[in-house]
Amino acid sequence: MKLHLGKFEEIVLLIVAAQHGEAYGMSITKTIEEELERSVTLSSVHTSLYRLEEKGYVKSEVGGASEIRGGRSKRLFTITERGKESLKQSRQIGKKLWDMASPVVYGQS
Amino acid sequence: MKANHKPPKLAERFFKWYCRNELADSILGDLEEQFYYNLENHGITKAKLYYWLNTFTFINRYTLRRRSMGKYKSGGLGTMLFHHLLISYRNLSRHKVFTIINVFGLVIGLASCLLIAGFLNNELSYDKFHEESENIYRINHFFVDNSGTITKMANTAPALVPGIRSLFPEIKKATQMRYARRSLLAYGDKSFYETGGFYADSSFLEVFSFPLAVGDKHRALDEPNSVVMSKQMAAKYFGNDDPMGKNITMNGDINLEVTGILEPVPGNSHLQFDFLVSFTSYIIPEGYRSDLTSWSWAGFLSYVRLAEGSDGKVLEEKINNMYKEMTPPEYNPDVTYVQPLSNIYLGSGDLVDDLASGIQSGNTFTIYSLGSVALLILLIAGFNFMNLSVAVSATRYKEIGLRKMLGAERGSLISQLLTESVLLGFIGLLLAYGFGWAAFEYLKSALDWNFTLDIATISLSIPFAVVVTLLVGVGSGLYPAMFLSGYKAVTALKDSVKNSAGTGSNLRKVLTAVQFCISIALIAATIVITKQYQYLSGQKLGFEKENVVVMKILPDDMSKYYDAFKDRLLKSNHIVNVSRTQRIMGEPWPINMISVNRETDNENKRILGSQVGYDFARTMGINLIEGRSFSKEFSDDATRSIIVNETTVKYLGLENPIGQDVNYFNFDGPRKIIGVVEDFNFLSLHHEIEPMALVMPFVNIQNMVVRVTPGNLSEKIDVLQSIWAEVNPGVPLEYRFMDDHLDRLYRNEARLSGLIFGFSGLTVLLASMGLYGLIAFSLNQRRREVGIRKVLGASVASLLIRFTRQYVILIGLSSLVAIPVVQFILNQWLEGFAYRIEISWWVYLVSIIALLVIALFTISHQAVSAALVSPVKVLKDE
Repeated sequence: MKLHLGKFEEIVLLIVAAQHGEAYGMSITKTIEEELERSVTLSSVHTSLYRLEEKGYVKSEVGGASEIRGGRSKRLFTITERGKESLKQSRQIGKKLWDMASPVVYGQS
Repeated sequence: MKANHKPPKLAERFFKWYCRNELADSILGDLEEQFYYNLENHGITKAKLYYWLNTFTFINRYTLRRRSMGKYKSGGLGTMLFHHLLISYRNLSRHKVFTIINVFGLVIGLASCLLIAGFLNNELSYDKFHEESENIYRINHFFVDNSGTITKMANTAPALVPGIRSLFPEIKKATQMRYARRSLLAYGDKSFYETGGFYADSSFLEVFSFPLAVGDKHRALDEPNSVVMSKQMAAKYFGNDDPMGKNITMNGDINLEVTGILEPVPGNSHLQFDFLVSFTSYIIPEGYRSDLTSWSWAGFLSYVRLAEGSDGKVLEEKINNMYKEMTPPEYNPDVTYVQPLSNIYLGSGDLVDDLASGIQSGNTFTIYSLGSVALLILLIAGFNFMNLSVAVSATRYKEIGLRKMLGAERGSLISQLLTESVLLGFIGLLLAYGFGWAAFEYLKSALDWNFTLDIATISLSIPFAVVVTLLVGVGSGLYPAMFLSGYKAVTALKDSVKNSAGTGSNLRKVLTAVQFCISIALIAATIVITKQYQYLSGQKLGFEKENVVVMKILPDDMSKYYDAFKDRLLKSNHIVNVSRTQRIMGEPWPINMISVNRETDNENKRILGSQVGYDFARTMGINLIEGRSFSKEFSDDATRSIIVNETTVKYLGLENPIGQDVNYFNFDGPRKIIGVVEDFNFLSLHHEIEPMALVMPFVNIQNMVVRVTPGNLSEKIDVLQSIWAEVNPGVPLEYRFMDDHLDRLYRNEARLSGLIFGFSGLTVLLASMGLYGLIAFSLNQRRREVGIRKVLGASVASLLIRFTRQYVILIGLSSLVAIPVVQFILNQWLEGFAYRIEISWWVYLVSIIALLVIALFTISHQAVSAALVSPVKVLKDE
């Protein structure tokens, strides 16, 4: 089965997997900004999360309010089996392409 | 963390407004978290700014509220719509009377609108069928006389078109035409008088898009003695034979060869004709002291087709320069102006010249007044609809309450109620097409309404009609829908009866008042327009129009047979008097110049004149107040005498008019005034009496006027025809009656007053139907009140007064608003008449009383039955 994953979606999905059980909109946004050193709007992360949920790559549940959030609950995302599968597929495709491209990228040896 | 800073409240509320509930909390949490993070790192301004930005960037399909209930949505649109229709049907059939009033009102309203729209569409479509019609212009001219009067004419000089045709590069094609007045055409034993003919050259068919069915349009009218004619006319003369190449005789001695057959001329062309004779065949009538090289003889219609993108005003300038150059120095050159083709039909009301009978012109007042009547009718129908819907829907509290309890959202309630009114609207529209069609066929014959409605035109109206119906349906359904759906379920269920009587009663009052305003205005307008029309037809003319027969006789026949015919006629005891004239009353009279032979004040002044035979005044019943008529005893009457009217005497400032020398067609020197006639109306009553001169004929004139003895007119016609047949055998005699001819001058007024009368009647009918429904409803709601009042001793009379009082007050208030408006508009209309009635106060009194009577009559039936009902019946349920 072919599981499609966009570049940004892949990043978000990876972070969801990495922050297993603790991932929510703001945490992912922060991570992207800090680790990838690029600015990203909250809404695009959220949109991406909803899209991933629609595709069945992540599932969400409500939980964990904190005072800094004005007592509001978080929507926590966890990766599904299908999500894991899609990450693997994406990585394999990437590897395959890298094998073909590396002689050029790293200089002909 | 700075505790005193909080995320902007407004942004939060905005977000909550649009965001789905199940997502809102978690997203707001994230937003707030980011807000405090930003506050720490970037300061309060940026934090707030980002918060705001975020509330906007979050708008997308995941976050927006769904209209339906999400997971609980069932069935989909189809089921919903079916359900709406079912409930609508049940509701409509429960209130049959209201439904019928509603639909019937809409049908009348929409049908009237469709009809009027059809008429307006026709009026506005004139001359648009020509290719590149925006590049076609007619060249008109005007002149200003010494008194400053501007006279505009469509006819221009014969030298104009040949002079400019190849001179100015922007002119692609130019053509000139001359109306062939009345011609006797003969083929074999068939001969008829034809009035629909023009002299024109081949370029006529190139300037305009009147296609030929047979023949070459570029050459058909090149040769002298060629004629092209309509299919219909060809069939009249040649039957089933091929008309091409056949010879047809015109006026007895000219042989014309048929070189082309015209496709039918569209009804919405300002030029109407049956045949065109090549311009080169035109012979200047005997007695005309002018020729085709003249730059001052205004007797030809000139049309040009300009190159794409050229400016008519520039051409106008060039032509005027040319006129200045070509006109002899002793005359004032005419000033020309170009009139775009699109403006000719509706914009030629101010032209004074004698246009061909085939040239149609429209009336903008009729367009405006009918257009506004259409809108008013639609408004009244829409108001009825709204009024009755609000009233009836008030009985549906229980239904609405129950629906709400079962979880109906406001939106779905509104859409249900709207479905109902739009459904009614479309039922009305379908019936309106049927009604409109039937009424059109009737109106066409009853009002001489000369336009066609074909399937193509009707289908054009469909999108327009659908939009209008949707507007009416939604417009009138929206208020009740919003009103009802806004109620709380519990209130609606609990207090249904108590609330309903007062529902929307203020709105109903306003709508009813507007209807009363419109009704009063239209009743008053109908009275005034009808009175004005009657006034015009009954106006003293200064001559006797009854028992006068007008016969058009060809110039040649006139010069050969007039004297013999007249002698023979006078021997008959059916004939009182016989004369002839260049123009008859009600036709446009030729404009000439007159000046007095004296030291001071001898300027040329504008005057209208006709050439007439002996006994003209006596035949027409015109009073001679001074001097004498033309007489055979004075041999120089033919060239040296002139008769004027009273207005002329004042106009020229003459103290002793008889014997005064004036300059007016001085062929043998100045003319002497030999008589003064009492003013008579020789134009239509739209115009005031102008200065007028009568002289003896010096060109061939065509009209014979015969005064017959009163009595059976067809008998007199038989006498005329048998004597004519003896004098000039084989040539038909065509006649009309003076009074018929004059009545036709007021055809527009007659038609307008007929239309306004009909449509106002409909409007008032609609308004009273709405009133009936409203009263029936509100009384029904007040049955218990009536019962209690009766128990407490109220009399039937006092109850009736109670019910009707508020409507009387409403009518009073409405008239205060309506009267000034209608007074203003009607005065504008009356300005267009030289002879007009004054609008007196009783017109409005009658309008108000009429409306009161209609309204009270409408109310009374319901009110009486409500007041008479036994209190026991209505109170026993309590």
